[in-house]
Amino acid sequence: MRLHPPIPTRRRFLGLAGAGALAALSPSVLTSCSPGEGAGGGSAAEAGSLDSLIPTHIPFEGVVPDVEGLHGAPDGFTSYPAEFIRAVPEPPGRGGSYTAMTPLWGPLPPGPGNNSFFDHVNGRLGTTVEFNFQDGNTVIDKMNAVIAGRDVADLTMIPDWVINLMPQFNRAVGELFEDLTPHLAGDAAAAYPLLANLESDAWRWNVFNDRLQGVPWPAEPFGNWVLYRRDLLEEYGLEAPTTPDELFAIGEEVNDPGGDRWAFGDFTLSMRQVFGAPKQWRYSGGELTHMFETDEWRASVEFMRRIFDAGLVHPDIVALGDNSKELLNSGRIVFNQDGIGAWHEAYGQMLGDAPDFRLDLMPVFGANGADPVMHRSDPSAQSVFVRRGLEPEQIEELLGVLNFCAAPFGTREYMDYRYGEEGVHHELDGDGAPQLTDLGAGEVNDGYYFISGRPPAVTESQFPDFVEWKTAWYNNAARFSEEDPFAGIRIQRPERFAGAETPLTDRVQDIIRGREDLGALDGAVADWRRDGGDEGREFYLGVLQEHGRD
Amino acid sequence: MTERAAATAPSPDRALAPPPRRRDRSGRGRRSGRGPSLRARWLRDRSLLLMTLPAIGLLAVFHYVPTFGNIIAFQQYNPWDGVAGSPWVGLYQFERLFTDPRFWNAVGNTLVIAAVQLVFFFPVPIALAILLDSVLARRVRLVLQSIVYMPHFFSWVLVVTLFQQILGGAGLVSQALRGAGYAPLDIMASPDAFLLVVTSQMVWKDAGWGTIIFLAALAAIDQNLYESAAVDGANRWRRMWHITLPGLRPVIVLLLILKLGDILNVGFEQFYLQRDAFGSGVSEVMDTYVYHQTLVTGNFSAGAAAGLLKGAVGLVLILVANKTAHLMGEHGVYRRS
Repeated sequence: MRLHPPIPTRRRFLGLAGAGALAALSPSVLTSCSPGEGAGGGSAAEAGSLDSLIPTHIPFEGVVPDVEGLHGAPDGFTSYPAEFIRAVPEPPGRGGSYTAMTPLWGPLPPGPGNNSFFDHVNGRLGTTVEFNFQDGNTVIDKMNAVIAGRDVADLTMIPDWVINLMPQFNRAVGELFEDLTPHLAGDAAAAYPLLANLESDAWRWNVFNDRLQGVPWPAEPFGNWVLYRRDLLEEYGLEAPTTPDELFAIGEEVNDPGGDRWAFGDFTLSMRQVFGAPKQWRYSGGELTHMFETDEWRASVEFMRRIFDAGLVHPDIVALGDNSKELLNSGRIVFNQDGIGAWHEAYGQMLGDAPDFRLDLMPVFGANGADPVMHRSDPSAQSVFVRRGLEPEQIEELLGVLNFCAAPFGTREYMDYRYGEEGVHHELDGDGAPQLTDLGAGEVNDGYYFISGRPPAVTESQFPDFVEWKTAWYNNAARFSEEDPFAGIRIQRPERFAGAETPLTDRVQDIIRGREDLGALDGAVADWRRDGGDEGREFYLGVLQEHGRD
Repeated sequence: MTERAAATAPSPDRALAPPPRRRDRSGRGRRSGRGPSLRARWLRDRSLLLMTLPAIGLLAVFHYVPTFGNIIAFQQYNPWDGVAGSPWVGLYQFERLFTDPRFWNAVGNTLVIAAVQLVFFFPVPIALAILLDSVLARRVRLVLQSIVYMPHFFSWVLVVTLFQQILGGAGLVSQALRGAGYAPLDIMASPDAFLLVVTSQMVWKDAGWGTIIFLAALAAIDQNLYESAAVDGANRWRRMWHITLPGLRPVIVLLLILKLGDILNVGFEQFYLQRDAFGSGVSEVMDTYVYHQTLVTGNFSAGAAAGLLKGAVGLVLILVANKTAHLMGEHGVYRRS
């Protein structure tokens, strides 16, 4: 029996949602999706035409990077500047007092009144910002309650993945948060030069229902990749792999269960990119093909099955998979996929006791002579919203605060909101890099860092070769960025489409880990198409047509 | 999962009350016919009733009121519109559940795990309690008790990790086997060993904690009975069979009934954590199914429907088991007066 929900499940929000085009998709969506919009012509619009809603990009002339980022990769700084630039000459505040809500990963710092770091930065701002931190690990539960209870702070930071999981966020955003378009669109942003310095793609990502609602947090272009123990490979006298077969061969050579060393963690996501599968959809010849339907994805699954079959994956990864960082850091595995940020975290933990410890990102390579397809992250990793109903001058004061907190690496302001006061919360070491004092370690936190974004940059010059290696990898990898047919469009996945994914990924885990034969893949994909995959294809085709990209 | 509250409202603590003594039963004769009027009983018990108020308040606020939230199982609920604004969809969420083979897979796994728990886990605390009770040295007993209680306070992450560190493919046992030239253990990632592993984990974690209620019941058994039996020449086993076990019977039956009502609640974390290791085919239980169907896709109503169903099944099981207990002359969850 095939069930059809009696109510619309194709909820979504688009950067620019023409109501007419929505009606063409599903008439019943109209009432639930874009209130307040006239039944316009549903003209095709692409992310490019959002330009009238976002700030004109005015690059800030800051510290010149040592390694320039290419193809959208972040700039690199191999040292701290001797002199920090003052980017905001006057404190932006007017003595107001505001609340801010952000998630925090890590222990709670002492609250206002007991925290000289807050006092210091608030003094620089000329405004009191009082933080209400939420546990980052349960932020989705909290945000659902906060949004449903319409109980938001003056500034509210929401990670992008949380926005994507919150039902009806497109409706909540206009009712709860201020429309920033009049304050920031076009040349208005010139009053906030550090906000105008943020990338246009990240701003476009914060347009909801034809309004600029959020201030972005520009993200590094790639989220995950395979990290490997460069020091261990050098001990074996091995070079980093340049093909999947070389990777497999290196794995067999270093794998030594008796000596408590296995070759690999799980790197399914990276292998998809090596074998050239799309991140989600591939558009060619008027057809949308999902990753799960491509030969490239299938090849990546076969490869992963091969390394599991050969016993190259650590048994703890097979069983639990959550201690892969420790396994890599302790040399019990040699290759592991992780967030790229795990690299400098590992250095922070390990270099003190093991000065020769070296990680590196596995070089980017394709399979069978083809180029890899690198999956880019969405352009803004989190958004900051201003509570609706504040006075215009209050909004301006808050935007001044956000402008201050958008100050990039190399500025006095960046040092203030990230490391506190020099001599109190941090000291500069011989190379001019900040080291937190005991007081700073107890009080300094990411509150101000999270309420505004700044251009991503590779700045961890305290670690040997880190900035050079990482920027070199980025500049190479960014050349192979995927052409995503949906780039820049915010889409909430239809419910059935989203729901069909878990059953398929479960089956794929069964196949990769040898519990099912590779032959089961066809049936699993057919089930996925039936249970929501094909429905998703129609939906996404509609989005392409709506945006004139078909 | 608020409907559970209704199903298991009598808290297990009540089992701590000693089994009713003989004179209660003789008292019943005296009360036959018309007892004191309701008003008189209210007046007589007013201070006792007053003392139950905080507990009733707690139950009402945190169990009974949230139970009304189950209404969203008949809606396509979204938090933004709230219960009042979300559209009504009748039994759509249930239809969807019943036509989903993954739901039935989860139900099947849950029942198998529950059955195995009932047979292999439930008796362990009883045996352990009798063993502990037979240790005469008070100090030794206290130490032993503390040791067996402790794992109850470990989180599942810790328990699973501990098992992995000892029995996993790179664990102590496997590495020792490898060192001696044998094949390593392969149970922590083998679907065939799933029931064995999860039941062992449960026994290790919670068997000690489960002894508390039985130890209390054992303490309430009249020691004179043992002495007279010994005088009559009954050996250790006969005393256990004829005195200890009958003394424990009301508590065992009570806990069994409560367990039945809870049978679809085998847990979440333990199975969620080991999902990839053993595969969803064996490890998907109702709670993990609900998680993947709702929180991952934002469909709260589907989750509420599954939860409501679980609660209803639990309630029916409790009532049936309780009825059976009454028919067999046991008190069950409540006494019939």
